[in-house]
Amino acid sequence: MAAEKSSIKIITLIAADGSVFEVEPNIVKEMKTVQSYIDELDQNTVSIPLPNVFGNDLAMIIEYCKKHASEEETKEAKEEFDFEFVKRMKSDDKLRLLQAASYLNMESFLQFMAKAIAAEIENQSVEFVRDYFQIESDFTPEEEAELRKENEWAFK
Amino acid sequence: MREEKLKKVKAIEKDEVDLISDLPDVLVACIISLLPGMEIVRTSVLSHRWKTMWKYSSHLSFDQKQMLKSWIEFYIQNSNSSSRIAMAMRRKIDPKAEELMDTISEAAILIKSIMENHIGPLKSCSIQHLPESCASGDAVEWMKKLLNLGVIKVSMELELRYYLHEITDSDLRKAGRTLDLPFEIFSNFEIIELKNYHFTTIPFPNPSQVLKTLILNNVRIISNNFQGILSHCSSLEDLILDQCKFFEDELKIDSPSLKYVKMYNLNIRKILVFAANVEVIEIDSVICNHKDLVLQPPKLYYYYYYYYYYLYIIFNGQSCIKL
Repeated sequence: MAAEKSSIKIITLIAADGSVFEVEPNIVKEMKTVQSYIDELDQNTVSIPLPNVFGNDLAMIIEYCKKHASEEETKEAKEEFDFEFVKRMKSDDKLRLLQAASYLNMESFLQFMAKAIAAEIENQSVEFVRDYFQIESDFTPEEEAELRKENEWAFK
Repeated sequence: MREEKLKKVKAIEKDEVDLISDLPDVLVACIISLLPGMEIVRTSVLSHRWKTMWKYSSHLSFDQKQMLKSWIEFYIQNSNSSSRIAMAMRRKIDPKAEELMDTISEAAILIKSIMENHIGPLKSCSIQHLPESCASGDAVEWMKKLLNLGVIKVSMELELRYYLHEITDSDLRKAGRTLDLPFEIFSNFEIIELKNYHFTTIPFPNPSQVLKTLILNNVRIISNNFQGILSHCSSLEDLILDQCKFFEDELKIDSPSLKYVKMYNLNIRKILVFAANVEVIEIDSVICNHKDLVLQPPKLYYYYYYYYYYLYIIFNGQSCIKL
């Protein structure tokens, strides 16, 4: 069984928009959703549809996984990569990647994205955070004032 | 129905699916758990959906002085610190007496009620608080409450910057810094971080020990049983001591479970480390009489501490050896 599994050379991931990615098994190790597919199937080549992840996002996730799975890269180089990786993303990208991470069941990537998002809304106004998450306030001004008063100790 | 489906397909084609407003609760909770301080509570005014979302956060962080900020500041400025501590000490004996209540005790009650009303599951909690809550026993009560909530990591810090040093009465000063910790505290959390306290505790054997990491920063262990505490913390793996003081200026570390010991900024007469399974010892800025520094864990990889850290030993207050 173990021998058969290790004989899988290439895994094909198919994103929601039909784009196809061919990756080595060690790249998808962190994607528990994908891993459970592989474990179930007993074949040499595996093709896995991921209807909840778009191609662009999947490409970024694979890029991240490749960097982090590499044994040649130093810890510093990985940190540097993480920093740049977050820097070039818009807030929408982060939220979509967070969702994708959740769907793919990637624990550490999910934490990484959640941290990046938390860092963006940290110390921002209520209006900014509403805008960020595209939240329509459904409170009346009175209700909001009441809530602010109730939790006054938390507001500066 | 069909139309809806079509719409969806179209949306996917256009790459326009609104994933964001559908952000599931678990992911929202995951994000807000990472917000600092009381900022998580501020998310409650975003919308009805977000109103109680923060109560699912796995982390809570309190800063007592920030909580009722303007009132506490006013109160501290317009009252005498010694009498506040004295009142807090009386409150420890008679916690329900209304005449002993003040703004600081209100903030303490607030912290407790937030913990009680938290839906969680709460995994970690950090509290920064005023000396009055040491004297009143509130700090220990919070820790007990967190124990009951099944919290894994607790970080407690006493606010030292303000007025404790102004208090001349040594008993009051002591009361404002001392935690009388029940030993359950040391057995049922996995990670404990204490900063700026004096503490005592009476260790006893507990088969269901889970404490893995103990971090003491600027802490004075008043009782002569630090070694006893360590030997009863049978699952303790990491011990970090920074600027700590020990009974009779003697530190003995002998615990079979310990794997990692870090000693920073210590000035101690005698240090003995015998722990059988310690693999790494990190030492920096430790002042100790040369012959009284005994590090003899059999499994120690000396390599690590040579490579990353310097060991300074000053003997007779003069020469300095860098290993």
